[in-house]
Amino acid sequence: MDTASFQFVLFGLAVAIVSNFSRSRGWRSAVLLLASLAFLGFLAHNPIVFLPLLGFLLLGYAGLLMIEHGWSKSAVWSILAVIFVYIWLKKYTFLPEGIFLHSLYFTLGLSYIFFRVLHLLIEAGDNREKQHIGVGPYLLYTLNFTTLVSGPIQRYDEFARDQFAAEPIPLGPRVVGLQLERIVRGFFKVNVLAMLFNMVRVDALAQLAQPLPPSLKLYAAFRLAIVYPLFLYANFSGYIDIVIALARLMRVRLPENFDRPFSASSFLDFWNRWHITLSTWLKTYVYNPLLLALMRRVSSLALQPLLGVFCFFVTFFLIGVWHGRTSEFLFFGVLQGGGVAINKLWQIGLTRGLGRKGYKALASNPVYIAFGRGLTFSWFAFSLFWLWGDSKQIGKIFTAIGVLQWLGVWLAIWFAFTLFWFWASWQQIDKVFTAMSVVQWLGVWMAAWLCMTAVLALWEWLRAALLSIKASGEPVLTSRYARVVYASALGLTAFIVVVLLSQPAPDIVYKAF
Amino acid sequence: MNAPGSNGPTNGISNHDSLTGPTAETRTDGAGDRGHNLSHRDWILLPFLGLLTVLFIAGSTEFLARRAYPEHDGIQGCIADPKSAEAAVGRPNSSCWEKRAEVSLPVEYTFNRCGHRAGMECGPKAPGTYRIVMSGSSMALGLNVARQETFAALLPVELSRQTGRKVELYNEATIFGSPLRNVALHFNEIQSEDPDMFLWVLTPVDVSVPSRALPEGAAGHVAASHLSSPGNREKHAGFTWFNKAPVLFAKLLVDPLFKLWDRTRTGVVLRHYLYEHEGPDRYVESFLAGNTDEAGLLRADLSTDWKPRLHQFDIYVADVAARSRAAGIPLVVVLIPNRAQAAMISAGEWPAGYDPYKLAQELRTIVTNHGGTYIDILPNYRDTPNSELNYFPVDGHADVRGHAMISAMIAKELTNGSIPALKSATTSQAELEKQK
Repeated sequence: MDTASFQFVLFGLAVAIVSNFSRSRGWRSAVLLLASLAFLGFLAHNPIVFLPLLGFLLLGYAGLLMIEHGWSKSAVWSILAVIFVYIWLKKYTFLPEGIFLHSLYFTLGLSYIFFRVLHLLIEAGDNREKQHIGVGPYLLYTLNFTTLVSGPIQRYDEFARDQFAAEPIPLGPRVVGLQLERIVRGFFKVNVLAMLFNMVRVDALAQLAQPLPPSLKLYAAFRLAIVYPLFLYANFSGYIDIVIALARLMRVRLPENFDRPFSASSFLDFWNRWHITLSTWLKTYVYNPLLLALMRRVSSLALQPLLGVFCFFVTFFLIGVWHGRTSEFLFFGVLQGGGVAINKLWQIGLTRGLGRKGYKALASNPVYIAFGRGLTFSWFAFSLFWLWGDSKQIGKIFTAIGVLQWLGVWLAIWFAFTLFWFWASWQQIDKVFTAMSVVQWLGVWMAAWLCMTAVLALWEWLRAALLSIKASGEPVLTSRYARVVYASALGLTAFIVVVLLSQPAPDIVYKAF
Repeated sequence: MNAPGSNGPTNGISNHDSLTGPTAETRTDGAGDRGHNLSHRDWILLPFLGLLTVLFIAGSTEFLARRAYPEHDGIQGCIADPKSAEAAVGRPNSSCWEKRAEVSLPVEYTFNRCGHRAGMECGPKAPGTYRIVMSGSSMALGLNVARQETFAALLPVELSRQTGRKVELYNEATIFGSPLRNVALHFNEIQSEDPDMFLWVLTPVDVSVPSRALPEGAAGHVAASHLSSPGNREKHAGFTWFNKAPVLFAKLLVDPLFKLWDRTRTGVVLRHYLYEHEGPDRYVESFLAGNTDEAGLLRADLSTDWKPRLHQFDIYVADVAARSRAAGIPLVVVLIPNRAQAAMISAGEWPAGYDPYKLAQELRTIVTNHGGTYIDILPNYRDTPNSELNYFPVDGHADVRGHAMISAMIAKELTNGSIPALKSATTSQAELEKQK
């Protein structure tokens, strides 16, 4: 029962069918709880390995009960205890090795359970009107098999609204059809697209290590640079497609986690479209409280935008750090936080230099947007900065900002670069970068930027053109007939690849976090 | 950007991340609005459209694959009785052409008056010549490769060069029928070629194909009908009513589907390009996942399915070794690895629970127990990077480069002193001492 496998999809569909035998909340909850426990049972057969997870859940629930019973001071301690136990169970390397548990235990999905438990504790501490959450709903919310492995991170109120509704949300044939189409699409992304992208990445990585002519090495480096974001997107968003559709068939609406991230024209915008539930969670529980706290202490109006920049850095640094336990992820966090913070500085600088109207005009310029998209894929695009605007605009921009803001440009295009730290160890990073000279890498990143600018612009144009073909006022491409056609095609392809060609898909990357 | 703290698209209504983005159609996912029901027409039209799409894609890709990668089955015309388990030899003095999808040019198969693809006539050898008679299955025959490029043609040239004496190789390999039984059946023909050595070339598939009949006098050892094959695996321990359902499901639906897939040109072309371009570890992973029967012989602990097959091999080797000994012909056995095995050895790593050398160790024990000589070419694959690229990816036979590689490896092992008559002229005494 691996994630995004045929077995997982069939299991989810079977649970959805049984869940719909009755509309009563008791029945649906019982089915979900049993299915979630069965899912855990499929993942690990020895009950002993679940004890640390059980302890973690009990700790969270005990904190919740204490807060509910009016021990409001316990909220902070409960939150700190949950954070510490999480770090301890995940074996973050900055803790001494000796304090860790050395027997095998189950940690799959712990990161996502951690966010849900913290959310409950923080909300319980903040809410003046105490709301009791029973053991059953608590377990349903934290162990829900559709969100256990890799999210999305759902708020409790949204979960409860659908799961415990007296009248569950409707589920007609059209909705079922849409969900089935989405499952096929997600399955195709994970098992075909991600598999192909991963093949390209592995092949490129291997070629970089071989004594090849420089032209072949450059080509390998180019493929390596652009393919990993695509792989990660297909891998993660495909899985999310499957679980959102399965949950919807069980009459629960999960939050969306992706919103066409590669259409983002800046790094800040990117994080509004990529792993949305994680960034939203951190904005809600880290960025906002931190900003408010700092603004209370710093009264200078001139400094207030910079406080936002600082809070962005902290928030996205934590996102990076959350991804892993080692120093690579610490650096990944610095790059993420730095990228977002300096992108924000860039916006502030441009707004000051061009004025609000001038900045708005620039930000809505299609060429600016197109190059901004490409920038998210590249690193050394900075040197070609002047190509995407007319000389007047460029002149304005150059005179509008200072050195710090220029650094923002570099960090705004950080994404593809930072992903090296996402999937590689220091040793691998060293191997990759020493495979070619600095000048060659500059060329690779410039080529990646140019290529992705063109490809993404073409994609946006094609998408708009296809959606403009309408019948009865609605795009033909989104009609149920078109959906059936492409779902059938994708389903057939996925079946051939997974079953007949026996091509195992790479594991869901976000499962490991 | 969104205001910090905003919840973003959390209502799950839209289908944002689709190719098409949020649209009116996807918004009908919400509660209580229009469009929850389909018209009667759509209940028929939509499944029909799905089926039509699948049929169109399958049909058009198969058509294109057949046009781009044509095949011509011709070798069957040169075989006396391809379906016979008794005598799958070539028609005397016949010639035919065959073109497989993976092979760029048609290959000619010419058989001599004795029905062998030997590149020479049968009959007595020239005085002073060291003659090797080789037998085996399709790999030894040189399927998909022109005769002059097979290792059967290259090996005597290499041996003559290394030993300084005239060495010739008479190839009696056959295809069709039971590979092990063919050797036993045709041993008299082997003997009649007056060999100085009998070289028996094996592949894992040869050992895996069970024979329904055993050599004369060997029937008492084991009942052939009890030998394991992919089709009767369920007869082994642990088969209860509980696991009957999956077996029946596999027999009724999965097996026919795979057989149909194997016959499609689309399948051949897709697998060809996939196997050719994927790395060895990934190829091995998919091979082990998809070829449960052949994967069994690569396991570190040979499964119960494989033990009866090795037992059967033991019976055949006993028979052939006894007849060789009686005729005074040295018996030499060599195993040529399959593509996955070659990939594992070249890469130097394989998944836990597998061992590409295990089968060779078992064969060596059996062969040497019966007084034969086993030459092991597998370690040579360690020194050949990506040796799996020297095989046709789907067909699994060695290609032209593969035959050259195999020839060099067998020559190296035959001339290192293990066969005194073929000891390399350049092998030093010190090396021989070391090998001892």
